[in-house]
Amino acid sequence: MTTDDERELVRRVTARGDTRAFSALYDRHTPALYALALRLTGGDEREAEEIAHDAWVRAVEKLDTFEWRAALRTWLSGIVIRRWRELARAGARSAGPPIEDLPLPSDDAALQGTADRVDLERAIAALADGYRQVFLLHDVTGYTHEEIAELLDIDPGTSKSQLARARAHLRRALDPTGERHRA
Amino acid sequence: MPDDPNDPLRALERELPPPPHLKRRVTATLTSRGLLRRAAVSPLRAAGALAAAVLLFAAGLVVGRRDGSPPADGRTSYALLLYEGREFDRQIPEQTYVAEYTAWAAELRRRGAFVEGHPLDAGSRVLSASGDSVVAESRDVASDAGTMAGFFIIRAADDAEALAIARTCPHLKHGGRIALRTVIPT
Repeated sequence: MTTDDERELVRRVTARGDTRAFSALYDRHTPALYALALRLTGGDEREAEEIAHDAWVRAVEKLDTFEWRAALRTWLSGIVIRRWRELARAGARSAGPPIEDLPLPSDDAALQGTADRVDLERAIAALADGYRQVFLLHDVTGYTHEEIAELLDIDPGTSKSQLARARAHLRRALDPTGERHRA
Repeated sequence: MPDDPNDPLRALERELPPPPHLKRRVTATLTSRGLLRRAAVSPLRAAGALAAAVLLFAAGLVVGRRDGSPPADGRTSYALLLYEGREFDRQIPEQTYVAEYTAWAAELRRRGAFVEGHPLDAGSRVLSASGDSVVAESRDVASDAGTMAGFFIIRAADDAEALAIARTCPHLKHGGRIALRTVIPT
């Protein structure tokens, strides 16, 4: 699907509530949005479904204000993460400590203890929320550090350092001896 | 993502399959809020979900008969209100539902227990009085059991028989819930 195709689908949804056009948009973007939501919630399928549902409803409500300054998926991903943060603030789950207060990798005993058996998804779920947000937004969704900084209300430098630490956590959890990465 | 081809982080899947019922749920919410138009049901699209649902209940009407009058045999009418929540299994082919509900309704008909059955469209308008006017809002009415997706009217000698009939409804084994209510004759 080209950007022009996507623009036409968006136009049909906003202009006349075209269910088929929405269906095409949903099919294209939901697997990525759901993956993001599922990983943000640490694998909680029910909460991820709620987030994906609410994000789509909010997106369609505001679709006529989308200005195409970013890719549609990037915009939708932002709605997903904002919804997740709203639920966290509302007490539905812990938002975790402030990003600046997260421990360095050497302090994370939980990851170290499971490093020899954890797979990638489990390793992501085991990350502290702040690390997980930055890692998912940058490495999975494709946000820039500047965009992440704006979205999470942090400095771009903090985003960069947290990404490095998140990657370090994950590599160590997945490959505790470092052999695979050195191969 | 990291450039190193041996980096274990490269194995991360960017997409994961969402729950199969999520699309219908999102579409229903958007429709109920007036953000999407209700999909027109064409006779040529009988394989579609809504048409299948119509067929499903129409099958019940064919084998039963529409008669909402109070029963003359002393039996009581009961409403089986069918709810679909998150637990409802929507992965089963529509034809399977049609076959199961048809067989179930046919058996009730054979026993003289079937009165009526209908599906309900996704979304609803909620009306309420506001001063001298009436306000109609397009939104879902959902309970702990989920959203009402249809209903059957049956006849039974007493509550115990009605409950026994309701227990056999195929809606239950697919994760749906049924509210059994007595219909008060008027």
